[in-house]
Amino acid sequence: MAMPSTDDPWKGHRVILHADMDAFFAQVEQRDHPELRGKPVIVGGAHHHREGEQYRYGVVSTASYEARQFGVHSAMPLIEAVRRCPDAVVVPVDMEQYREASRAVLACFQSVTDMIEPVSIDEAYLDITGSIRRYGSPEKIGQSLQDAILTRTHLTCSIGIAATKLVAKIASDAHKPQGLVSVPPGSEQAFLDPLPVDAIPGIGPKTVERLAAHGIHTVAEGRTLAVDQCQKLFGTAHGRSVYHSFRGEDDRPVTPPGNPKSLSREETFLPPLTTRKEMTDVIRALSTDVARRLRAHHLLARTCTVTLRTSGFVTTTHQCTLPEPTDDTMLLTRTATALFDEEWNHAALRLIGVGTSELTSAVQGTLFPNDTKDRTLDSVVDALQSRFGRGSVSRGVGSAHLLHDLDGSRRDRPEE
Amino acid sequence: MKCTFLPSQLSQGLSLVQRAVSQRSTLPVLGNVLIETVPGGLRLSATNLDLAIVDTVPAEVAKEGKTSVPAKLLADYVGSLLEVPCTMELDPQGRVLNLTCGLHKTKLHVIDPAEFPPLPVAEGGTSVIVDGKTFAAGVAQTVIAASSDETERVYTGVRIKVDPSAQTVTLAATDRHRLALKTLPAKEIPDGDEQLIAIVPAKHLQEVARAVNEARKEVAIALGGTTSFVTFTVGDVVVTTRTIEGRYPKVEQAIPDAAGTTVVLPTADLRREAKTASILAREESNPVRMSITSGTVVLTAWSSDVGDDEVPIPADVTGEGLEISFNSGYFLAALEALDSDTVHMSFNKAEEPGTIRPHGREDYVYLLMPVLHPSLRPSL
Repeated sequence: MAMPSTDDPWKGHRVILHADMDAFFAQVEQRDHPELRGKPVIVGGAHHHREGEQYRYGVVSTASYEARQFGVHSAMPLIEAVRRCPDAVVVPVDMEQYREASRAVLACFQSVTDMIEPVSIDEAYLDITGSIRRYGSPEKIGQSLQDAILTRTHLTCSIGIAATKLVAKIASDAHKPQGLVSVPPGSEQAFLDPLPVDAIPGIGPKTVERLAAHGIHTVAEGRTLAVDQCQKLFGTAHGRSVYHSFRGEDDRPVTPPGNPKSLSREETFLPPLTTRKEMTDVIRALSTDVARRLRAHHLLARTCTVTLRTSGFVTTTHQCTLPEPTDDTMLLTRTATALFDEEWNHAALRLIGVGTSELTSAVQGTLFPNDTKDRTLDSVVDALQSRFGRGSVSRGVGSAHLLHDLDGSRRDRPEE
Repeated sequence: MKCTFLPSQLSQGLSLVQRAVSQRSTLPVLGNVLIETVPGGLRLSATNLDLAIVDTVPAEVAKEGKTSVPAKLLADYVGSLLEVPCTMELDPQGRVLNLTCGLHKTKLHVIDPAEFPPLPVAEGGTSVIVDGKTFAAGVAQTVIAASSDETERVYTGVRIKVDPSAQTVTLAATDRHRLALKTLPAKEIPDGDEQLIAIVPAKHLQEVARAVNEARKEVAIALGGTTSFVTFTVGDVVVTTRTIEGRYPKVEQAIPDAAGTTVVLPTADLRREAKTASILAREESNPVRMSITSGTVVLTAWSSDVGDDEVPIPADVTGEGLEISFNSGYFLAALEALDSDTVHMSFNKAEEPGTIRPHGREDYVYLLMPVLHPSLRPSL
């Protein structure tokens, strides 16, 4: 058996692979809808904005590479995107579809290593240091992974491989789409030097502006700055991080996710929402999303929180303990709605948030429902509702809405 | 009162009855054992008002009488004596019990037996007789599923059901997470078809089981009377316990009729491997996952900050494959209680209860609710 070559550049280094799906949402849409292939596709819009107003408030989530040629990019207001690319097909976000695709991609990663740190739905770091003995060189692993993802999910991704997360991420972005860039230890400088400073994650527009003011545009130029100069320019912490970034230095390990401490979702509204119906619809949508994410994480929440911010920027938060740990859309919606009713003072709202905390990964099942606990369940909701009802003439209306909402959420409840 | 006794015989009786002694009662006399002469023996009684235990030990009675002395102290004292005939004699004023035991001359201050409360009794009702050993084994197999949470009293009990038409006595215990159900054949049971039910504290039932031995082969249960007590007579030992009031869940209905998946394998194998796996079952609710496929059951346990363990066990599997997780402690308790070389498990869904039984027998069933939503290991 051949001994590992002594000039193996990876020897003694971690091998980190960053995989980034190419225009993920747009690619999934094009995969599932053949008529969209080859066309500029814009995925965007917010699902719980009012009917017909998608374009007014929505932003671009993802643009296909065809649409990007027209200058369309993520986070651009939809209205502007459509102006730039009038032929674009605008598709609403179908998160469930993308999640499923993401899960399939994750399964491919898992065939290579357990050391996976998902960053978002379409991006993950893999520490493949331990996989090389089994599967071959880092580059070979990268190639097999791209092939496996393409075969199994019909989706393409770009991969960067380096000894640090930072360089791996920059590398995955260097030759999109379907890029495979390996930056072995020792070659980081040669790879980074010609790049513009904003190729480095963490160097944002403000930092770029400051650097430009000092005549620094490329990473090579950035490296001429000493650490104290960087710190003078950007402050102690950020300065140090900028200094290390120019050198491709990054000691963050790939950390597979543990269980999150809390899960929440909030939405901002401009113009602010004014009616209870709109607000409870939002509460239901947010609760549904949070419950779905709880299920996705295999978690149950013990606590529910509702945050409201009025158009006058007054923020209030109400919280209650759920009668039992839950990931149930209906229970979460009921509780959040009851909390909302307790909290809301009829002001217009610019932000609504639904959160869960005290998350637990497992719960012992029960053979015989406990009468006491069932009473607690109802009593939580009832108590909140009656607190809302005290001194309020609209209780009857509120309850009627709540019941209507309950039916809706039961219908909407996704099967998992 | 005056009599001669053998330390070992008195000691045995005291060790049984002193378990009914109330250690921290406001009534000092409840910390005492009542000693009464009967023809050819001494009757020892102790009670904490919820539980009373009475035993009669052999003694040569020279003069009738009764008294009461601290139970634990007397048990410790008698338990340390040489095995020679000893005498006890109450002084004429009834204040001091004089013991002469070998070289020891001992005086114990007594409490007037008149202060001793009347012992609780089960009056009226029905009596049923079961085999003592079978009963004791059944108690051991069921009390494991009872709750120790005194805030839910009904679940700290064992439900006893006497079924004259089936000629059986059924013991059931559940803490709502699991249920153990044992059916015993009755040796003597009254005629009729009226079922009788009593819920008695699991701890008290264990005292009854403790009384069973080679000389005390049968247990007579008197229940359904006018008082809220059940009396168990085990030879010369009588245990009376207050029943627990409350609605007991319909446990028989909880047992699934059909099973989508059944697994049969040697009890010892599963017990040993489950015990090892449980060491790593450190996540919330201590789940051990069972992956059932044709011919194999794979147990997986994990602890996210320490590591994990996986063990395949050959098994006779019929029906659908399934993945289901159980609290390892609850699971092991069942396997340890099982009195059969082969275990029969049946399941339907990952979120529905599974049953554990001795293979080929219906007299015992342990129903266990799974752990729901166990966090997945990163490698899955």
